[in-house]
Amino acid sequence: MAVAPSRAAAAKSLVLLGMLAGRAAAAALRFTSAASTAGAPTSAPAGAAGVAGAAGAARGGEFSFEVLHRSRKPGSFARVGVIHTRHGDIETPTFVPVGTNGALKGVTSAQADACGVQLMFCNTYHLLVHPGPEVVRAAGGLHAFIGRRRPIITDSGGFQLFSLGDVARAPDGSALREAGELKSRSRAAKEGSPCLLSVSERGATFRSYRDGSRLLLTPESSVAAQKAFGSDIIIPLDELPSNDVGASALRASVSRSHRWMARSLAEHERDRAGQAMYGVLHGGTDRALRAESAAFLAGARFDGTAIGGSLGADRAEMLGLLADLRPALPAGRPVHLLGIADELSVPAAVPFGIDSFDSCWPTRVARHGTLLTAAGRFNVRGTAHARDFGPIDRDVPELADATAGASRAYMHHLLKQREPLFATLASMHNLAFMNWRMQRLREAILNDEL
Amino acid sequence: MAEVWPWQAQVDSVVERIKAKGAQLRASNESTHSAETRAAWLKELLLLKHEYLQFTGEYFVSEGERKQRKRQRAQLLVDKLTPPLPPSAFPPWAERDFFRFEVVHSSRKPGSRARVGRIVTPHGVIDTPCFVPVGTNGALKGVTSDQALEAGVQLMFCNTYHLLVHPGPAVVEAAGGLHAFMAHPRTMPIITDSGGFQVFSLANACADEEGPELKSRRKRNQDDAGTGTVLALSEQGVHFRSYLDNREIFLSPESTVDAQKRFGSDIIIPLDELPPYHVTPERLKESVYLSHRWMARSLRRHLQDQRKQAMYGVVHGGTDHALRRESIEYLASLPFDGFAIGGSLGQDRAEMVELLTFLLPLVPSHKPNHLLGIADEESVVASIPLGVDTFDSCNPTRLARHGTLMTRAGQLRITSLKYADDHGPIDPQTPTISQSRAYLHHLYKQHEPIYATLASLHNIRYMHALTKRLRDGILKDEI
Repeated sequence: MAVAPSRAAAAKSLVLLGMLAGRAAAAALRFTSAASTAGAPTSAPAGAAGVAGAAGAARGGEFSFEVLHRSRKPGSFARVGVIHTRHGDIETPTFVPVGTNGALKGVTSAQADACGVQLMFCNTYHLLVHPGPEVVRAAGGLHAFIGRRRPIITDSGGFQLFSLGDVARAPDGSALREAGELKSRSRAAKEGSPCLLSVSERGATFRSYRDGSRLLLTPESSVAAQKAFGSDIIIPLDELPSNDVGASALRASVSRSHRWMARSLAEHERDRAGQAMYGVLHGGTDRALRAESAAFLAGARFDGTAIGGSLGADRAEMLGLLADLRPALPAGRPVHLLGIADELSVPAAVPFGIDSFDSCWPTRVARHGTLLTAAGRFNVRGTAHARDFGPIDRDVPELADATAGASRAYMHHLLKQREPLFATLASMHNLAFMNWRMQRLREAILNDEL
Repeated sequence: MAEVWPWQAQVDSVVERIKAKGAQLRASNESTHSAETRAAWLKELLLLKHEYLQFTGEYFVSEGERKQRKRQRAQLLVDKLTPPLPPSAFPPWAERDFFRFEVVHSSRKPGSRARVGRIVTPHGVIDTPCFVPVGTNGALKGVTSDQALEAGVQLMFCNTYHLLVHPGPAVVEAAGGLHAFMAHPRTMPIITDSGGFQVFSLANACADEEGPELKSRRKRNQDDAGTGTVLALSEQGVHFRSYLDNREIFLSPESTVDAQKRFGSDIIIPLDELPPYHVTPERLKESVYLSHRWMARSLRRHLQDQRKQAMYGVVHGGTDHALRRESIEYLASLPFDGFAIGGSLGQDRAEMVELLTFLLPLVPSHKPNHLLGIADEESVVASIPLGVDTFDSCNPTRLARHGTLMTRAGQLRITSLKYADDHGPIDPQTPTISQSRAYLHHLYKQHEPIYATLASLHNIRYMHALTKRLRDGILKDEI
């Protein structure tokens, strides 16, 4: 039961999109269909995503990115598009939750579908440790193994491996805390601390936290693993320097990342298998390095661009950096922002032409009691909510479907009683909220407001 | 509220007689009447006060004494084998239009008392025999009510004790009842217990993880954060301390019914006492009599404002056949809507089967019955031919969370490495969830929260398939 956007916006979308070629128009109709049939009997709060995702599959199994509308607001890079994959379509911009171990925490695949999760992120590092690529291959790929029919994106394993527990520090020495999320490497290290044994031009060896065995991560082995996983979008191996790295070390790291990504791409091209590879843009906060990295990516046959590495100490720095580097990115490729997707950073970054954002932030804060609403975040642990029988988000009634209409009082009760169901319902709410947020952003882009 | 039965008149009459007897005693002294006479009058007065308690749930306190009372701990000096309210104190049972039990088919296999039935409640239909999972705090562990509904669950059990501790009946009532508070599907009925089990057992509702549950109680250390503490037990009720915030809570036959009224559950249970497992025959008998007196009080309170709820009486008596018979005969004479079998059923399944074989023929067959706290697979298979209609237990879901999944070929430990690359279904003979053994193994090893969800759903679906198979067997007169 998606809320219908304004009649003007819907009409405008249809007129605009009717001018595009047939396939695009079909895609557009799928996008707006839920909006215009507000009374449609679907239990998914993200009717649009559900309809498009289920109906569409990439033509001939090939990956492609279709821009449906570029915002005409002066200075804006924002665009609404559709990424076609073997496992369905992804309307962009979109939020991508992280299911580290091939599972979202507390949310089953069916529940994720109901919350409108179009694309799910899985971490190759953890899947290498357990169960390993061979088991996933024998299961028929990640989709079959985890029981998800819609698109999946996997990373290379590099992020967890190279973030080794140093707390990222700002130039004045103070520890960086998440204001939103700015790539907390310390937290990544806590999740099954990787024990890095050696790093060389060939790649890295590390010790599995599970059974202590030695595992190898090279550009070739990372891609081989992601081939076994059969994810729709894969990421080449890159190196992640620490946040306080010096200028020359950063340059060396970016060079190595480029060489590794070139090797990854070569390995990928031996058998594309219907997967798309996103090159990773590096360079930290050094504009020149970022531009060089962009040139490298543009010159290679990547299908998309992921923005990695440090983006500064806070959101303002990040937005400034995005403003500077965005024009250099290849225009026709989808752009993904790695590891940043709190509900305040996303609307701020969309005007810079970011098509997808991944982060475990919305689901993680959910588990700790913070629920996202149109009126802002709140923590349901507070006693003020013990007798609040209204819906979690008073302003967006259709979000109630994700949690079967659970009230704030019930969520408060479950949290206080430490019931496992709290994590499930809270995560489903935040997922549905993020999806609703992205829908509103897509509408705003169609209206040239962003 | 309007009285459906002239209890108020009976209460007024008792009060009159108490005042008269009290006046008679006060007016006499050693010189006017003999000591024996005055002792007899005193005994009559005490019996009258006892009768007042049975009718109102409160001690009779005269005006003068009222000011001195804070917390009532005094035991009435009555014989612990005092009988409960007689059947004549209750209206006769009548068919309810909101709660009906229909026997669809009684097995014609010789010697079998199995039957397929349907219980119709305000929130939906229950096909019996069936398994009832336990959602202790108003939620199954890791499984939403919608997932449970899809998995075939038709009745859910919630524990009044935990809901009393948090959030409390007032909050649930303000939410519009348990269904509304839990965002529970309107088509799935809920049964609540009285709170007595948790209070008296000083332990969690579930006993052993492996093997049959036979209501064993383990005394827990007082330091255990998960338990409550019993402060005082009296004829009136039991005081205990909440494990959450150390608040004192009073549980009486009347207060548990008031709470369950506010919960709005479809089937409710009166307060009973659960004696220790190792108990002398005398103590067991006293416990049964106390339970009867309490359950009669709960029933009375319930009938004052029925509100489309059904009440099941709880048969007690441990493994003593005579006591069990006495218990069911008394309860059957009262207008309960069904019967739950409580208390200890023996040391092992063989003893349980022997006791149920004796007991169930005495339970009125036109009303539904429920086996409390026992629903492991073997017990279910053994009890259905004896005539049990519904079973509740957290055993199947707890087993799941701890790595044991149920299959037709026996239980399997998903932690075993041999399942690491077994991509087949969990039970090849029972379609449950679509995820493979290898995935469940992976999730368990990686401590992923959806392991508990998927494993519980598997075991719930397995139990549903099991009871469905047994119902089909009854319909074919094979069970």
